[in-house]
Amino acid sequence: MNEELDYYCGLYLDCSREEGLLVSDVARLFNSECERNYIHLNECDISILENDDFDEQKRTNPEDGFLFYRYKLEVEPNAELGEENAIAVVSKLLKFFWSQDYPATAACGYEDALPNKGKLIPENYNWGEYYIWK
Amino acid sequence: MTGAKLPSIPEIKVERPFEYQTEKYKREGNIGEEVGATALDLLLLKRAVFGKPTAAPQSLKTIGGLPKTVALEIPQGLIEARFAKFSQIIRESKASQYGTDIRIHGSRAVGDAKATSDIYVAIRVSPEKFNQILKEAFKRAKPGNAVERTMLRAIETGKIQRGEIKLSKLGEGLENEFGFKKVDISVIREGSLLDQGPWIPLKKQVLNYERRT
Repeated sequence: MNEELDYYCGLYLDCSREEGLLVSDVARLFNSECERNYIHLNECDISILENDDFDEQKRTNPEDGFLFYRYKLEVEPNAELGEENAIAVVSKLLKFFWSQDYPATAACGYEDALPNKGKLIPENYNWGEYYIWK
Repeated sequence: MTGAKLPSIPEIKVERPFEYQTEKYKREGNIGEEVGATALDLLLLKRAVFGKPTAAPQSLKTIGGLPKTVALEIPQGLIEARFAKFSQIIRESKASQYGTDIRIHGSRAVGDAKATSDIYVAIRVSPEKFNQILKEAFKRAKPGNAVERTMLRAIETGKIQRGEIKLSKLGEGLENEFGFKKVDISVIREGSLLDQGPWIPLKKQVLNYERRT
């Protein structure tokens, strides 16, 4: 694993949107199509997975609650396009999720270069609104 | 989501414990529709009910409410030849650079999986090896950043997830080839909370000279 080329980002997302619809939303954001839970682009590959660690109580912790959000996106930017591309792709995803009032946090080596340092929980987010899920 | 209408909550199917399934099968002879089982699932269930042992006991410990049971010989949802292929793909992939003790665990090893259940693949490693992989996978962790918090979670659980060890592509390929919803491949530290059976070891790799003989 070459550090210079390691642009992988684990993007944690909390929302009540059904998985299939969420995948379609993300594909549409990039004017692309999905293959099951995967979106393949020139800029990156994105997998959208239910987070096995989802925990409706722990997710509300402002420090590390993101680890327990409902979804985890594995974002693997095209290394050949460099860090700028990685930042652009992850920023685009984050801004989109935040615009929908979804909490989303990016865990990657370039967090400081992302808007809001890659982490935002929308003000007054109603954590209780989909308490029945698992 | 201020003011937005909430989506309707989907009906939740309650997953029946395996022991319940077998009892019900004995009584009524059919549980397929209720649990969404495939024909293969039912075959495995019949085996379990009617006494053909599927594996030597490996662990009688329980975790997360799973019923006390033993591992199957072949993961639920695969036949032997397909499991051999599944094993071969993993053994010939980047996964094997992390370790060679690779096993299936979770509901597909126990036999109480639904048709849509994920399959869990554990690459079991010593604590020393785990730390070595951890250091490499999270080398961009800085005090207080999200990568560091993810790393601390990995230490706490003894599990490094597939994205962090660059195995997402392998998972996707296996999902496409074998039809699982998700193939979860992770590095598991020996002795950690998740290091629990029942297990099904991957099939051993057949060497080229053995194939020829």
